[in-house]
Amino acid sequence: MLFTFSFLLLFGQRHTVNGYVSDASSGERLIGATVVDTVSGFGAVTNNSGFYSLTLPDGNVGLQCSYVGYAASQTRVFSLNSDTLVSFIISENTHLQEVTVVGHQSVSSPNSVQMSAIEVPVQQIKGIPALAGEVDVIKALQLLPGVQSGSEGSAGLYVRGGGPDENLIMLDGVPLYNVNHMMGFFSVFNADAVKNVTLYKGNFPARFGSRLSSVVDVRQNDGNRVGWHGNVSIGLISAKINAEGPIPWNKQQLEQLRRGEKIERNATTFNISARRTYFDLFTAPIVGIISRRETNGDLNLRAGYYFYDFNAKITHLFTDDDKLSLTVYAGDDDIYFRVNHEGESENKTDRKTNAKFAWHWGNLLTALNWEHRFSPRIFSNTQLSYTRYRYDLRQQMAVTSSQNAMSATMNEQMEYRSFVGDLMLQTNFNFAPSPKHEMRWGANYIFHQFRPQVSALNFKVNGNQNIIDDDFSNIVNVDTTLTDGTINAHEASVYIEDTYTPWRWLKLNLGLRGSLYSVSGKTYPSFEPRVGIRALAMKDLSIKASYAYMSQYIHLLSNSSVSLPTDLWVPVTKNIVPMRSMQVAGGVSYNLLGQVELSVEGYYKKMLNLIEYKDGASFMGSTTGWEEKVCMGEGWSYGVEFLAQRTIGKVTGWIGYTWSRAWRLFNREDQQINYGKPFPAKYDREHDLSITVQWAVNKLVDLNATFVYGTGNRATLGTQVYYDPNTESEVAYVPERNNYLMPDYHRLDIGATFHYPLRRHPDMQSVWNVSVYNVYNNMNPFLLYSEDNVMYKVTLFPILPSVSYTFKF
Amino acid sequence: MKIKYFILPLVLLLLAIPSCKTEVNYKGEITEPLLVVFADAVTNGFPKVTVSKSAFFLNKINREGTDTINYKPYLLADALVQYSVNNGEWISMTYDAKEESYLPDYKTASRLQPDDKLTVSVSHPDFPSTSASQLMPEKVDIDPVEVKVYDKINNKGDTFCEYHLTYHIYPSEDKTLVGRLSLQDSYLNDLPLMSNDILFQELNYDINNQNWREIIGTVFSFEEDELEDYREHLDFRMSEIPESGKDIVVVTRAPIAVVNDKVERKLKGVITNCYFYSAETYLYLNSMRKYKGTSTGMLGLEEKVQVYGNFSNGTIGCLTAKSYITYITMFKEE
Repeated sequence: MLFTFSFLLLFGQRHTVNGYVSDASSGERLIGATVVDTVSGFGAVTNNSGFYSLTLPDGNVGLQCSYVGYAASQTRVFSLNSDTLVSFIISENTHLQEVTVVGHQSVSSPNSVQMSAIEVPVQQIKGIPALAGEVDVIKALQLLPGVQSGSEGSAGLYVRGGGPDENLIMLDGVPLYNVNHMMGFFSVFNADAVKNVTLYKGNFPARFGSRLSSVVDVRQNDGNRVGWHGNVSIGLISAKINAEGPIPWNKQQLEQLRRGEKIERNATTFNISARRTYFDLFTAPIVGIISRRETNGDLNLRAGYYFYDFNAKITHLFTDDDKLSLTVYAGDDDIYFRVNHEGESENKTDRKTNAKFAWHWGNLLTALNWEHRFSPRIFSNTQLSYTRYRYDLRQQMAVTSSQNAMSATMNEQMEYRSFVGDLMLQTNFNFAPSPKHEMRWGANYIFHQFRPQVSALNFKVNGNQNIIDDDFSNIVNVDTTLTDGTINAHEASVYIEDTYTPWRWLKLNLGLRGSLYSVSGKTYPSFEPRVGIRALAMKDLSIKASYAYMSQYIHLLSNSSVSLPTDLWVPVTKNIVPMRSMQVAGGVSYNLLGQVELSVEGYYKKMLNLIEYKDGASFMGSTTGWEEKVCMGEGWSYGVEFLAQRTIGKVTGWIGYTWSRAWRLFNREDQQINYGKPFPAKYDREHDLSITVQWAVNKLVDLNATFVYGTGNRATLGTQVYYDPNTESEVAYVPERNNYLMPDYHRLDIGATFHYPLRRHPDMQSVWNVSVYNVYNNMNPFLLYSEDNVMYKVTLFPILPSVSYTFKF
Repeated sequence: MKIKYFILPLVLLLLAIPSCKTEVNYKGEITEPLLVVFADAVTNGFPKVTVSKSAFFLNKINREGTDTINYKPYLLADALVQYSVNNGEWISMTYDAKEESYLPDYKTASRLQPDDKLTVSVSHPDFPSTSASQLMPEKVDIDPVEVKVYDKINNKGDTFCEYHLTYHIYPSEDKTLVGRLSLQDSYLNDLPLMSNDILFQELNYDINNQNWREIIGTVFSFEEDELEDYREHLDFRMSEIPESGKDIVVVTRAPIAVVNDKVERKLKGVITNCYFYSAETYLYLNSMRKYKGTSTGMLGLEEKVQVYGNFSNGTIGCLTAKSYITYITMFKEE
């Protein structure tokens, strides 16, 4: 009897509550929302599908849901004696009165074992004043502690001393290889399409791998399930459109929509966003007019540059147990140049020239995702995806020379291409067997393909070669293709992690990830333990610690600090082994009055097998012999980060401060940099402060401001010059790499947003946004150089006002 | 097509559009000048040492009308410069104002032989003493094996000839040496050219039946208006030459004749120079080549190159050691 009673206690007196958390206005399922039982204190967090599962002892239960930027739900009290479906619908809190919130807000709140992670509400991102008025997800992340931005205007992320290629940036769980437009001044993410952005700087959950320094998890909107909505906007450099809504399959669903009801079963939603810069539409014809006018019609020139992004997602909800979605992203940068010229050559022949130059680079991503709930305790997510980045440079020229009755034509075609692509299959499971355990496991396989460089060249001369111009007199007919070849690689990984709560005050996250990377006959295994500990010192105050081991199997070959489309991804080889990192972190997290999340964290990170380019090495789009041009070494970084973040109420924003150092050491034989002595990393910036504030004055006006201050970037400066008689030239003596600190960087941006609802249709509104970048016109240095014994700086962006208009429906 | 020729102007154009240039105060440490010593030594020759000092980059004296350093004010003629061979007694070098360098007394000094250990020492009251050592490279045999001259290639009235030169490189005991082959077309009508530079006498070799002669000494030095056509050099490591030796083929082409100051000069032959550098000398040459290849002075776009040096105590400069061989191939006139 005692045994039976114990058996019942152990296995028979608990059940599972599970369900989804959704946004009240759109029906979007919310990621990272917290559901807590106020009676037992146990809680769960919604996964990427907005699903939670919480196994509790039978008896009285009081469930409350909270989410960053949203008001907490009412507590639902009931008696639990069977598996129960409890879903929550909560509302955004941005424009409401001040509220007192209880519960746990963000991914790294005091109750969560997760540390070194920050979730930024999309509404906050949209409120940050931006360069040229272009709201940018990556630029918002650069304002967080522990993240450096690199050079002025750059979209690169340098996280805790790591390089820009050490970040796993994903869109709906699929990696993107190049997230930069326009040399890195803007990122590829259209904020209108984004639902959720989470940055992990350390304490990486075991489900993440393949990069050393950070994970940026960007999730797209599924689409409004209640009605059709969208917006059209035009700004200083781009125009955007966004539309979302349900797709009714029958009259009944159409009627439900007309009544403003959410469709629960067999519901299909779509979300489409598109953005394109437009100034080339004006400048290209103007350039043509000017060229024709200046040359009396002899020269017709057309040139321009633009970029675009296209995001689309279709989601079909079969039942609460099954959801299928298709995500598509396409984006490109395009430079084009066309010229037609007629004239006379030096040898008095008539010459006509037609030339075209086109350079485009960008990403294509597509993912098919199936979510399935097996039971209240087991949830799965399976995805098949494809992502690729490529650049393609083409030049075509035809020159026709004619004299009397003779003519000849020279045709030239050149093409230069590069490509990297992944085909991936992954599956992930969530399992909540008991109140004390929340488990995840999964596996993935990735087929990588690298085509680093393909050059095709075709020269042909037809006709009477005697009248070919001097410029082309040495041409020999050529038809050739040069290539580095295609490199295929296979990557497979499995992981398991368990968030274990032995006692209420102690929570552990224990994870293990195993991966294999096979390329060119060489296989690299990796075992990556992950540990996170949270000790609740008192209500809303916790002490955390973590350890993470990471491996990375690919490198980005880049020649300079400016992000160029010719930056190339290459896999590890027999000689260039995978990069590894080990990071330990510790800190304190406190939720002040349920309104402000405070955290202080210290970290130390060690990185091995880093690559750096030998002095004078240049890639500029060619990988030929790249292994001979790099050195392998190590790096280490350490620092302390402070963050105070408020995501609810009329005034939101954050203050982030970082003190940090980052070092590099390359002292292997024949691979020395800086004479084999340690040197500061390029973006080693000791102090970094960011303050961003958004104030919802009332329903019609929002004000916002951002202030940043940081130690200047580092540069390598030759402090002495001398004469070398062997070369008869002046040479700069460089005592140490990255030895000079540029002047400190600081800037203030302000903005205001005005909402004008339409009288007859209050759900439609006109929105004007006015912002000023670098309000007090501080001349921050982008480059330094000396001339005539005077040092100069080049400033990229002085004060830059911008305005944009959006129509919301 | 060089991708970089498109990329760099494009980047600079994008940056130039909104950018502003302003003067900025230097906030780093103002460093003191450093001693600069360049010493060059050739097997079967004599060392030559140039001593100067560096200047802080923001207060250097420039050549008039340029932004390039005027080296003359920085030359140091009052240094104590000595050298020793194989740890023998120190031999003083005296300053020669015409050469702007320190030279030994040619009447009493002995020529440097292969495998000699040369040590150069420099002292100056304003700087710490410094020294460097190098082993003199041996002269590696390279035999010109074959010359082939191919039919002229007609193109709009200009005629070219293409010639292939094959050299057999013999192995060396010193595997650290690096060889460098370079070619130079010769259009000059009369040879010898500059009597104080030429140490060869043979002329007019028959192409198909050459009688090569090894040349020891300096290469030709032409006046600036003389026609020369230097080809890219070809570097090879002696560590890659097997015991049986290795054949290296150099292919090049040149116009049959060129016109300078209305005087037509026909292609007479080709001069092959083959240098052998010590490992450290090659490091210096390579780092200097990379230094010159990086963009001008702009901090932030490309990494600055640290030029290699082997003098001690923080002295800038390098003791370079090399040997060389010169061959002249004269084309027989048809």
